[in-house]
Amino acid sequence: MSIEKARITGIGMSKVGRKTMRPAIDHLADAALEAIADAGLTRDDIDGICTYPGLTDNLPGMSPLGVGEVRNALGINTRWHAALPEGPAQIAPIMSAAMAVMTGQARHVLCFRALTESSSQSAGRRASIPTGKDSRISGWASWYLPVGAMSAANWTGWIATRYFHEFGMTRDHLAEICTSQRSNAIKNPRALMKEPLSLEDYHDARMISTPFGLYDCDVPIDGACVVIVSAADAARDCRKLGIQIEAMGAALTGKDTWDQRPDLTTMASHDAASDIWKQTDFKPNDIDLFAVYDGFSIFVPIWIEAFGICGHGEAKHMIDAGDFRLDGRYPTNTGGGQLSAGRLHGFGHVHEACVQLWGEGGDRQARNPKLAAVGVGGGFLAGAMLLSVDN
Amino acid sequence: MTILPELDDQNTPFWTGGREGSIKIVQCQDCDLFIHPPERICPKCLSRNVEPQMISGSGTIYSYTVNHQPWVPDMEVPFTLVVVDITDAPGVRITGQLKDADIAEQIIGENVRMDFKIIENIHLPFFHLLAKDALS
Repeated sequence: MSIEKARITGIGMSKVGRKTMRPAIDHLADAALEAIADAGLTRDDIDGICTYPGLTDNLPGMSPLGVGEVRNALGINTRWHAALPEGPAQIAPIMSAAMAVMTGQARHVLCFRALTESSSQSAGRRASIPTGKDSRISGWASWYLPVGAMSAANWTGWIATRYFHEFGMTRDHLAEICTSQRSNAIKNPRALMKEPLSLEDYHDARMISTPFGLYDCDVPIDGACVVIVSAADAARDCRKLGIQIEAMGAALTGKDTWDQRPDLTTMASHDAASDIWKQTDFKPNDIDLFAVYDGFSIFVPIWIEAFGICGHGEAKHMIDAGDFRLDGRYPTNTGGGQLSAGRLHGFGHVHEACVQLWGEGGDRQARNPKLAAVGVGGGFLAGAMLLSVDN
Repeated sequence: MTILPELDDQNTPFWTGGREGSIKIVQCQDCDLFIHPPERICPKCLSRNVEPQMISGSGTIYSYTVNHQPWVPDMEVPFTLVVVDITDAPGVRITGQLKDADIAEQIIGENVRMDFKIIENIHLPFFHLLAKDALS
């Protein structure tokens, strides 16, 4: 029996801002109602709901809404629901929703991500730093925080240092990624950062954790993003031609750590992205567009290598050639990415890939993309998808 | 402010081993695999015969980052974090601060030795460059 692949039928995003002091549910409702309308559905058509990671308060503003809060607020009655803190990174809910609709558990699943990290930060709580209720912690972060490695900027910093050491990449390569994505953001009405970023701005910015300066790090925001995943037959009732979730990669080797992976110039991205090619007839050079996680700039070349369009350590040559610019061979993070559009935790990347595949990119529309590679997560977290349109 | 690890029976040999002179890393007594972070079961041969073993504390810098951002109040910056391949526990890396490095020096491949800073009931590991020892 062959099961038809799931489709993405609608997307929505709240206005992304800093220190909005708006309740998370306001952002979420804006995004959800936009996505439902985008799909040509009504609230009552939604029969599934899924999120990452679910309600949590150990990282301020990181996940202020769980499935329960959203079901209650929007009055959604569901046949299937899940919150997935340990799935294939931040797109676990989209991948799981695809499996749910393919197996008949639901027809239209509302997948959401809501964050209020910016407001939490301004209220005096540090975003992005795991904290417990007291000064003692356990779990994987307990191997890093006590010695002063408190931020993902540190954990990723030593990944980048090793990558630089082995392959001769420099901060100039990262600067090209950051400035190119900023150019895209300026053309994206939804993006947070609207000021041009020059090479001088990049190099003059204060250091965070070498080799990363301020602009190598993504921007915590307040906002929400919603993706509707529908069964193939149900998608035919929707307003737009559904985007096919052509393949999904969730493979994972090694342990949940930031320092024990034998080759730290690769990440879980390589496990997840390589598994993609076992599930599709497409080949790496069929990719038209990348939407890859950029919590830090170095993730972009690492993810791109993970998808196999070039050899290990060769992404720098493609960066030099401008291949990842909007008018390059592989337009990448065309909406600005998290570095310039704001940290919507991978949902922003899926949103942008769909915008492009539907040809709705306006001033930032890439040239007729049919196949988008979406890679989400960093370190030991990764989820990968190929999204396709056949119009 | 230092955030300390919650001690349990598995991580105590690591975080308190410094009292006896060095960190202890769990090793499978059947297949010799070093297991870090510690597990109760060897992920290679599935033996449950795993025991903490004292290591010498020498290693080689695999990578590093110089942290400039004060993430919590009272954090003194900058400081260098090193990820160290542990010489006598193949496959294991330990991450800690490098105490006496000149900032931004190229230090990948340099040999280091482990030392400890005692906070409450924890022996926090940090590293010294061996080359610096030789000079002093």
